[in-house]
Amino acid sequence: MNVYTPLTDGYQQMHMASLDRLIDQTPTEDLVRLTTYLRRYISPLVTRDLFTRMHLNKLLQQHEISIVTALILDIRDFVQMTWSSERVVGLNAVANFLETLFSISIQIAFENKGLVGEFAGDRLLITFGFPGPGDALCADLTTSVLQAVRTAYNIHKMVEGIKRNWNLPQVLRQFDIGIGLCAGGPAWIGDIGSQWRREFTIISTVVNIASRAEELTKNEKMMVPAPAKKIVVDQIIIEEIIKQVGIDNLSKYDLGEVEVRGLNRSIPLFQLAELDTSLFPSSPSIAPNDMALSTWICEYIEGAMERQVSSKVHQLLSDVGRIVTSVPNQEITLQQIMNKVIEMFAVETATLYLTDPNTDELIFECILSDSANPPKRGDRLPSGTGVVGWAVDNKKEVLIADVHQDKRWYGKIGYDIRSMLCVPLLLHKRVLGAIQIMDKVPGKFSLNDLNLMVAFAGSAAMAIENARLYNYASMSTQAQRDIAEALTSSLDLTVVLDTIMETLQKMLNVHTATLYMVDQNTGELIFENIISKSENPPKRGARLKTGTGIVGWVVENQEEVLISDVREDERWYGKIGSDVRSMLCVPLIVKERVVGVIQAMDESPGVFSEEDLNSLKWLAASAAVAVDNAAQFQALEEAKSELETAHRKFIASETMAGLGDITGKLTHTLTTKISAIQYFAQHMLPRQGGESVQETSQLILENAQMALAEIMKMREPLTEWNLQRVDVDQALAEVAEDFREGLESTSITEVNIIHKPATHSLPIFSGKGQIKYIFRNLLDNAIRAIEEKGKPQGTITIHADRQQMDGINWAIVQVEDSGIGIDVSDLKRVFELNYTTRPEGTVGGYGLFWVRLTVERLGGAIDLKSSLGKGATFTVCLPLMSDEVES
Amino acid sequence: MDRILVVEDDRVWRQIILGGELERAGYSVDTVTNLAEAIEKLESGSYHVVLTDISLDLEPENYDGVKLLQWIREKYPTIKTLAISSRPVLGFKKEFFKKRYGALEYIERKDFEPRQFLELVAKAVRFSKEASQRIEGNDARNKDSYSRR
Repeated sequence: MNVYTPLTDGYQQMHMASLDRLIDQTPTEDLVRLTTYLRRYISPLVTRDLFTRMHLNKLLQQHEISIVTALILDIRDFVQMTWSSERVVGLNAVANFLETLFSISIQIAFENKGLVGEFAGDRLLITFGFPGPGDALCADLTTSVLQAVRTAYNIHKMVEGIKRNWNLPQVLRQFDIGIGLCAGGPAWIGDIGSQWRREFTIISTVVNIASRAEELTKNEKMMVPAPAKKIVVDQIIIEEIIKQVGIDNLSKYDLGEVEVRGLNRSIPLFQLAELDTSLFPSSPSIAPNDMALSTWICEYIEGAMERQVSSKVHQLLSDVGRIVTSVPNQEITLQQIMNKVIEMFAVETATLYLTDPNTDELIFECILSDSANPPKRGDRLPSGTGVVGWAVDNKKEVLIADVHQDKRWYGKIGYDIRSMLCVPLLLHKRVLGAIQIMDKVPGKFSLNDLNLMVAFAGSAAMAIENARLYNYASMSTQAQRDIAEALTSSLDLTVVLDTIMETLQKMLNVHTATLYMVDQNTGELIFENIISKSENPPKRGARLKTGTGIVGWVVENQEEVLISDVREDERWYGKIGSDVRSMLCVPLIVKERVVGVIQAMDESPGVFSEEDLNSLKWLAASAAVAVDNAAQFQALEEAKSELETAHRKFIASETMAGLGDITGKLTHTLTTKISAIQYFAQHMLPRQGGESVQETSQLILENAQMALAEIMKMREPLTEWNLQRVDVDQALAEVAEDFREGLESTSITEVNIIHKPATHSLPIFSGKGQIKYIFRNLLDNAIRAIEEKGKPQGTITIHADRQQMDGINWAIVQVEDSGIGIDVSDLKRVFELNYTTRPEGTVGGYGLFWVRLTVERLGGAIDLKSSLGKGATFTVCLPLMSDEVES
Repeated sequence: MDRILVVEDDRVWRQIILGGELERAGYSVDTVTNLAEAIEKLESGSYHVVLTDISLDLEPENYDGVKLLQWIREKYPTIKTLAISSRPVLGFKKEFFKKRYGALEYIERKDFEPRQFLELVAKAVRFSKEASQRIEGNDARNKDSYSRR
């Protein structure tokens, strides 16, 4: 084994650096071509020459080379020989023979820096002048011609040696070879073919002529017998040989103008006789190191390529690893993965699909495309669609050189796509989706790309799964946070339930969800909250009977259910959207009591997984606590509100009593004070003597007595509420009688009080004092109105009767006077505090106010109709005791 | 000297009217404004008559003056009491009140008349003294019977 170390062999660091640079700058496929050339076609001498001068890149050029010399070698009568050998010695012998012949021929060609082209059965093409002008060793036509001629002569010598010395079977020893040479024309050298098979090819007229020249050697009639060689050359070869060795040293035979097929012209060809090739410039022999260098360069390049690929994979994996560990959001992860892919493979279009675990549909997740109208994110493909569908279904990667020739091709993503590489995203035999890269150039992707993508897809799958888990976890956390926030920020049950439903919608991505509460008294289900696409969803507060439908079953059994198709479930009630198929239903249990149910629904069957059920159970647990808390709070609120209402009622009912209380204290204080005044006036002042004092004391006395009288009058309706059955008409009669007596005793005013007796009994529930107070005040008021007319004569008509209004029986009392009347504009103010028509300085202004308060307190109302100069009519309505109460 | 305690929260009535009339009539008068002070005075000194303000608008038992009347009747039966009030009540109610709470008279402020008032007080003092003598006499008889034994 050759161990070749170029640095110790005199090669410098710079050559290595040059090679590294070449590797870095050259696409992988060109590097592969380069090593193929180096191993198979290029002479190690040329390799060494190019390497030492750092011109290896010349081998990569696939273009025309200006001047080459072509050599065609063919075995004469090979068909005959093979046929004979078949039966005598077997084809193995033929193969061995050919191997020997060719290997020595190639050795000779390489020693002369020839480029060994195709083998086609028994034919061999060797080209000289490669890699082209500018190269010291293959600088010119002369050099290449001499190399070619020497190769031809050496091969002939070798063949003669084989015939003579080798222990060949007789049948093989009869072979002969023919060689055609042609020089001086351009050639294209490179690989040609499809991605399936690319072949090293030389295209040149020189080769065609050489081939024609070689064919002539078959024509024994034309050929000059030995010692002339069976080597046919063209004019330029002859000229070049003469230039080198002189005309005297060359013996040749003119074969005349020979027609070349397809050229439409004849070319002069010559057969070469003996030639002393030692007159040619010496050619170096191939040293073992030259072979080793060639091999070493190839291995170096291949090693570098491997490292490159593995470092690419490594880089990719580490990138993906970073994505896996660092990125919390699935969307970003997918985007990053695709960016990596685009960067890595330098493609125009890349798509990432995720499979819907429920429907097996393919969902476009991430598309990088230069198409004007790319599929949208979230678009769906039915399972099994296109190449992606195939890759997902078969869990296998796909490499397609031309999708147009692939039946699986769906053809919807960019019509001009040709190359495709599609790799499923596999995680523990589970398919998460697929990554697909595409290009317009056919055969763009290599097996290396495929392997790289497979490795990448493994990591990408992990990244996606990670992101999913993270999303799920963060969603749960977020949900928890939302609910916790709702719980702490609002103890309002409605808000909490709304939050729960929102969370449910987010977590399970459902369109229809319902939350029922169980009426703890009746066991009925009450719709509390519904998320629905339906235009006519059940209303909040609508009720379902105990045990209705699946919900009812869940409540009764305190068990959650996961139903893939409700239509196949006997419990299905079928009233909430006829298009419901999948259902999740979980009870809300608080202290072993079902307080409600959460239900999630979908129009497609089999949508929900066990995982979804667990999510919902978790949500239900939180919801149950929330509902319980909120319900307790609500109950507390209701109790509080009841208490408040009661208090308000209490305060309202106490207002009058309180007023009475205050009035009592007030009258007490006032009485105390005024009595003191009275005492001073009555007992202190008289003791001091004197006329003026007498007058003053009289004044004090009068005022004090007046104040006392008013106070006494005021306290009566407010402080004494001994409620009892009182007949309105009787009270009215008594008051009227009192007034008549009073009026008669003074004889100051002539007022006729007419009382029209009532036709019914008019029982009301009142203090006797209060009802009399009302009438006394109204009569007081009527007499004053008559007095104010200036002529103290008039009539007061009082009448009470029964009347039904709004289903209630009322006692209607009317007090009509022929007094001065009240201005219409004052009508409303009459019942206000401090309204008075009396002169200033006199006590008053609260009589009718107190009357109104008292009437209202008795549950009645008072009204006044009057106009100035035309008297006034007060109407008092008081609610009659109902017959039942009365009896 | 005959001793009178006036319980009245209104300053004019306490000092000038009631206190003034009684002092001018030659009584020894102490004045206080509330139940607690009244009890304190009664515990530390001896009085013939207590004149107290009562407010009788709602439940009589809730008022300090009424409580005081009850307390005195139980603890110091020889002290005679007079009630004074701003509240006018009918005659039969007045009698009922006097019997129930042991007041010698129920005086309405608006009907306050100095001469009648002083006659009332004099009568009360006399009653108080008579009661004391009766009790002392009983005591003496008890002593006699005890010593005779």
